Amino acid sequence: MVSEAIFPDFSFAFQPIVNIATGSIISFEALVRGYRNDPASQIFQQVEQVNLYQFDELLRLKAISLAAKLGLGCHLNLNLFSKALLASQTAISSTLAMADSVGISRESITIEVTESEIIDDIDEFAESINQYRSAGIGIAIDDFGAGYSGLNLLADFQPDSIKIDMSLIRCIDSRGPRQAIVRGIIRTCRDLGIDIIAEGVETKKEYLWCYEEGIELFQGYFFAKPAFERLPVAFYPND
Amino acid sequence: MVTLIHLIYCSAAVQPMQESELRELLVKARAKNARLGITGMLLYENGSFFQVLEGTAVVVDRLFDEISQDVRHTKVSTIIREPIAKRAFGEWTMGYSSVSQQELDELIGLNDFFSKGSSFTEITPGRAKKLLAAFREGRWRTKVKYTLSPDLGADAKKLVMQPATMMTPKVSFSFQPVINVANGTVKAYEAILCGQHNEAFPDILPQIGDIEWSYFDTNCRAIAISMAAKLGLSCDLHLSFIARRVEDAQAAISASLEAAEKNGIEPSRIVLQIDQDKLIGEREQFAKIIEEYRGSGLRISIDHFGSGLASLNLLALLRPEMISLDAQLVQDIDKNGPRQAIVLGLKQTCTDLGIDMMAKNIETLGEFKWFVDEEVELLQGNYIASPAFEQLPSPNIPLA
Ligand SMILES: Cc1cc2nc3c(=O)[nH]c(=O)nc-3n(C[C@H](O)[C@H](O)[C@H](O)COP(=O)(O)O)c2cc1C
Repeated sequence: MVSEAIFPDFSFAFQPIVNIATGSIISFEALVRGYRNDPASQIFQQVEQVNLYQFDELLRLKAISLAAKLGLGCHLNLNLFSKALLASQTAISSTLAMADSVGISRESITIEVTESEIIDDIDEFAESINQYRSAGIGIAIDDFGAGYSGLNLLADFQPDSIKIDMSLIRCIDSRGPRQAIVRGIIRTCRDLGIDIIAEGVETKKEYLWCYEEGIELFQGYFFAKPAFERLPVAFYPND
Repeated sequence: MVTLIHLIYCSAAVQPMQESELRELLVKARAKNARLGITGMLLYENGSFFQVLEGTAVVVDRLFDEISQDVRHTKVSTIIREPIAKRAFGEWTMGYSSVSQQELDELIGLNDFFSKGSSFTEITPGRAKKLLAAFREGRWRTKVKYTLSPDLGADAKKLVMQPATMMTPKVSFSFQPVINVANGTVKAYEAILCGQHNEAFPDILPQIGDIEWSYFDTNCRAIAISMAAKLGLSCDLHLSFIARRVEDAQAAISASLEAAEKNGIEPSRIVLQIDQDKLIGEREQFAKIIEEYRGSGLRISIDHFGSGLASLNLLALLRPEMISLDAQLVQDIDKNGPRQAIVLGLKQTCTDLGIDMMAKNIETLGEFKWFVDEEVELLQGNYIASPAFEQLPSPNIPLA
């Protein structure tokens, strides 16, 4: 591992993923921030390409220990550059070891990878990630429906959950094509037992449309903003 | 509908053109014209240019805009721009010159096509021909007074350049039916490109040179259309769209429409199958081009849907009339849960968007039955009927 000194100072904000049906938070996604809550993009700008994967690995370790310190009582969603998984042996094993050491169960860790990143070498990715699934971790596909891929990704690899990209969610209540696309996604995921999370939900109308189509898991400003170094509470519109 | 026009202009070279410069211009212009489906000719004599451009209005106008801005010439005057009923310089092939064989032998830019002995007299009678005759007689010579004393040795005395090359594509087509199981009819035939002797297309690919490829890419659909018409096509026609570059898409679509019209096939019976993997990064541009042709009734299908880079977003962006499922999704679908789930999800989206879904590459009874049970109505594949060389084959299975 490269010395941490070469990396910018960073910390995390946490944003809940809520289950509307039960009125509870099922997980927090750890979002990297600067130590003064600067946006993630600023942090990544300061990391050299060659060190990116080590940085990526380090982020997960710090996120877990911070979440544990804050008293995490549910799942934790952590991001992964899928290329890091193929480049480094320890990308996930170090994450698991850290979870063990701070008393967070492996089953409560969900690794998020973006659709566009894994589509190129889906077979290789599936093979390496599946090793860790037997250790109990969950896999979520982030930004689903955003890029060039789509449902066909699910032919070769079935994650535990997908997060429907916010570009599809935005104004979905008034956009026919987006509605048609999301209905197709829902149908396929249901048939395959994959959980669906609507991500980036900002308005009541967006929420209601998704809810009426049977989506129960949500993330977005409408429920809770990311909170810096805190595990925030969420708003439940059905209460 | 497709408006064919010719545009004839003259201009003056800003300075005497060297042989090498003319040659360079010739080579580039031929290749690009072939790609754009533009025919015509270019004459150069002692500092004067005279050019006939024929093709679809939008394509000709755009090219002419570009040519007008070319710094190698000036005093560009449009002599005429008007609709024409058909091309004077060839029906998908072209090439005529205005000078005797002996003169030709002295010309720069001589190409194999001149030596085939085509002559000016073979140009279809019409305005282009009259104007060419006028040019020969000395009219329309626009010149600039060269400040440098012209090096007459280097300045080609007379040059006839053919902007596109004659090509008889060594290709043909097989046809495979698409059936509609809901009403038991043949809905369409897909024209599948092959060699003249029914060789698989990849086998003849290496024989197609670069310029030929462009020409061919623009015009092969026209060949398929006229062949299908001759075979008595009475249903829809599915044509693959292989434009390698988005910027050529316009020319290729125009050429297809032009051919449809010529062969008495309504554009609404033509479905252009777009291989979505080829569109990456240029999808917005492509969507715009398609939009321009929507009014003609021509339909679009996205092919190989559900393969590597397929995206549901593409449906919203391109709004195709049809998609066809990728072979990988179709294969063994009756035994493969994830494929079934994906196809049903896609079907949901397509139904909501009013897009027809079609399954190709059906090889087995099991696959066939699965689609019939799930009410996917448009089916194609060897199980139903294999492609037949230069024929419109009937399905092997009884249509309900
Ligand atoms: C007299 C004259 C005639 C030309 N004719 C053609 C032509 O028929 N087709 C063509 O593509 N370019 C022709 N050109 C060249 C165009 O002006 C321009 O250089 C070319 O289209 C650029 O193509 P590209 O940028 O796509 O390579 C001609 C130029 C001159 C000076």
